[in-house]
Amino acid sequence: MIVPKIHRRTFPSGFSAEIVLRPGFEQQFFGIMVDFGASDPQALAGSAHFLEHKLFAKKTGDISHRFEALGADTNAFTASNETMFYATGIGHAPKIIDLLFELVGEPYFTDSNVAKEAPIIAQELAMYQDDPQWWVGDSLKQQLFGQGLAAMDALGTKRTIMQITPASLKQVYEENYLAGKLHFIAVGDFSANQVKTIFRQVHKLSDQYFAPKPGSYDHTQTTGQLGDERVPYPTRSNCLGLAGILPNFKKVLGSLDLAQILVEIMLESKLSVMSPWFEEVSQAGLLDNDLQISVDYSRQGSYFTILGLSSQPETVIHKIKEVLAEPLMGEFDQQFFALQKKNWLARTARGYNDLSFLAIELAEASLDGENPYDLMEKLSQLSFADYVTFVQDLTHDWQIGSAYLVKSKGVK
Amino acid sequence: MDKPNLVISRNDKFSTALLGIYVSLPLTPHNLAYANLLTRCQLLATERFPSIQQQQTKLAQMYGMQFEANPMVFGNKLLIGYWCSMVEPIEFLDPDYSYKKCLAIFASLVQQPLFNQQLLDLAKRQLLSEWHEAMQEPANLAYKNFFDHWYQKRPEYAYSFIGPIDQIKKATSADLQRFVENVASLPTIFLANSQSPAAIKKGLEDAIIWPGFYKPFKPEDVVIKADPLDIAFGDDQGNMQVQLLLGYGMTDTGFDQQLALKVLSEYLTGDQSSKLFIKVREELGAAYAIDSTAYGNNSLFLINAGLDPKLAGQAEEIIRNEIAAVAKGEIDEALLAQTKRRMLNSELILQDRQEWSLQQLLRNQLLAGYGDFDRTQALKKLTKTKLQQAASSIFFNERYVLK
Repeated sequence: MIVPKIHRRTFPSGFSAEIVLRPGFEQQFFGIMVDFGASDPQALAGSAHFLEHKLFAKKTGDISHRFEALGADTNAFTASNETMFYATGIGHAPKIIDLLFELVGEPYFTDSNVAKEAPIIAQELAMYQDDPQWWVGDSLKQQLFGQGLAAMDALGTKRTIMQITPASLKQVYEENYLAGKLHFIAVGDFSANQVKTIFRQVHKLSDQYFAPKPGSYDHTQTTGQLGDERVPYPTRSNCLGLAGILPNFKKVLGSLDLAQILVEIMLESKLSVMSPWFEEVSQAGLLDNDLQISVDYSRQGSYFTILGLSSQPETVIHKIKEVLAEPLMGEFDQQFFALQKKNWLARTARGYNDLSFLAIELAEASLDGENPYDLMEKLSQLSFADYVTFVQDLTHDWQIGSAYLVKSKGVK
Repeated sequence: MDKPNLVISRNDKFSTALLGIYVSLPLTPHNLAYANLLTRCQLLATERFPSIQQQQTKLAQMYGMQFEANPMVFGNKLLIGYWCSMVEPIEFLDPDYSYKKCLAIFASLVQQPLFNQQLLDLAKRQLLSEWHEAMQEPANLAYKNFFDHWYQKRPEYAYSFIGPIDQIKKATSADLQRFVENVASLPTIFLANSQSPAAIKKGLEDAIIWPGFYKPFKPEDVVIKADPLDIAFGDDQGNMQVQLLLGYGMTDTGFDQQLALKVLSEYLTGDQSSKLFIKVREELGAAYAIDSTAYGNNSLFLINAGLDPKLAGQAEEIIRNEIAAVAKGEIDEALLAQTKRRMLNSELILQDRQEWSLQQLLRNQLLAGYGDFDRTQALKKLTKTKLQQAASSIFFNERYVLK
């Protein structure tokens, strides 16, 4: 497989940077990822996300307008353990990089601009909450993580959003936006000279804006009560979900990403449309559409989620739990594993075509100390017997909960 | 015609090859419903791979070859679109993996559907279940209700999702087979973006069966004119946000005018500097997102937003006033210049999307005069006066609110 060329640097402050070459592409992607997100410690839930919004505010107004004046687009997102700020454009690389560092490195929080942001974020939350699936996801997160931040929406709640102040944002910023927790990435068609210039500029700007401190991390894990929850909802939605906490989740051959892939392959082998199980439940009229399966690891815990649609959710949830309890050993599982190895190679190759996706994946991998291309090598050499042993170990002592919506008037 | 309809562009940068087959037919409720059923069946199983498991296994064996099938509405035209995304064989150098093998599989998935009642029943259940779930989301329901009213005088065009539910429910395997027999003889085109156009062309030689590939795939006028309505409707579900959709009719849908209205859309809601983003979101705090779209083929300029119920009235007033202001020539020239610059950049950035390269090939084949219209030049030349004319040429036609 042809692998993109990547240049990496770590500066004395602890700030790290990488430049990924994608010849022939018109656009250039620049991003700064912060190793801090919605589930990490913060006094008020939703602070990391609020901070992400409010860093765009500067003394001179919304910094997005200055990116846009260069013909560049800028945006940001907040995940469980990361916040990312990024911009895409054509040309003007030095100016875009300057602006990106100013965006992340120069906070300007005032009573007025913080008060203005709260109703906008409340509307963002309302938009998500008008989707039935949000309520299933919310129940599953509470079952997985109890009362911890990881149990809540990244946006916080309506109440916490309104409690956030300039002082509380400043505190969260100063504790987390440190050189050792920050990573810069650029992806595009850059010449050798441009690569050198970008690294020089990034080194200078990272020293200018960020305190040369290493990051500190809290790995406290809270768990909730995993059960089977019926969630009242005003209309008749067939959404259902299961989630499982993985207390024994750990690195496989030095990689958490590899562990994640192996658990995902195992879940797919049992539940995907290719599985004998799906054929059986589909023929019985229990499940018509495929299930959405994902495995995630975070500092607050590792878990999987399974989301789907069925008019008989209780029976489907029961059947999923039954099949998950069965061991991996059959001929089908062996063939499936061999196919998935090919499939993951192809997924990696496909990822090169979308510069934003590629940048986010590689930045996350860098912060986690992972190498996606070494990972593919390890996966392709893994035997079925080793896969079974690893998966048995990773899913040892897992606990599973579920949720589905029940029509009920006057709720939301 | 002795040569099939075939256009292949060269892929110089993507790790995948993208292949597409498009069948052209008139947009009718029946065609839309059956096109949905057919493509859903094909996504599940086909004659050569008669179970979901067999079909998915074969695709996985070909390095996760992706097969997609969907009806697409282009004004009064319905296209049944099929796509295959395959990793370029040079990435793996596996002798068992080639263009020829992938093309043979793709062609069989498209041209050799499986007709059996069990498969059809599953396809129906999937479509109906997805439809049911989509309608639980206020934004989708509002969109559907908006179009029901917009096309109240032309109900044949009102079905923007899966088509009439009763026709989906009643369809039999024999009905679907008759539909496919007809589809096979309709104008069909093969489009591709690949590192090796010659290998694709060669691989196709034995793979094409449908006679429609040899029927002229001619550009036509696909635009549906906007009927004057001037209507307002609403429903109340007690949702957290109010969904507001304001539809303006277009009187002129030439490419030049469509581009001017696209500029209007970007000027109003294109980014964080845009007029309505600033006034409705940043200043009023009434919404997280506000969008507008110029549907040239439907003669519709649509503005939609999910709004705070308490501020929905004020937000609507701002939207209407802003369109009226542009129509009067009250245009922020610096913002217009910035909008144009961003759109010119976007034209280049789109070239980084392989799907876009196929869409361009398709538009050239489907829309009369599209290939001769220089979009970049037209955008560069677009003036404040042209934007004002475009805004004053649209007329308010429908307001739909879902609370």
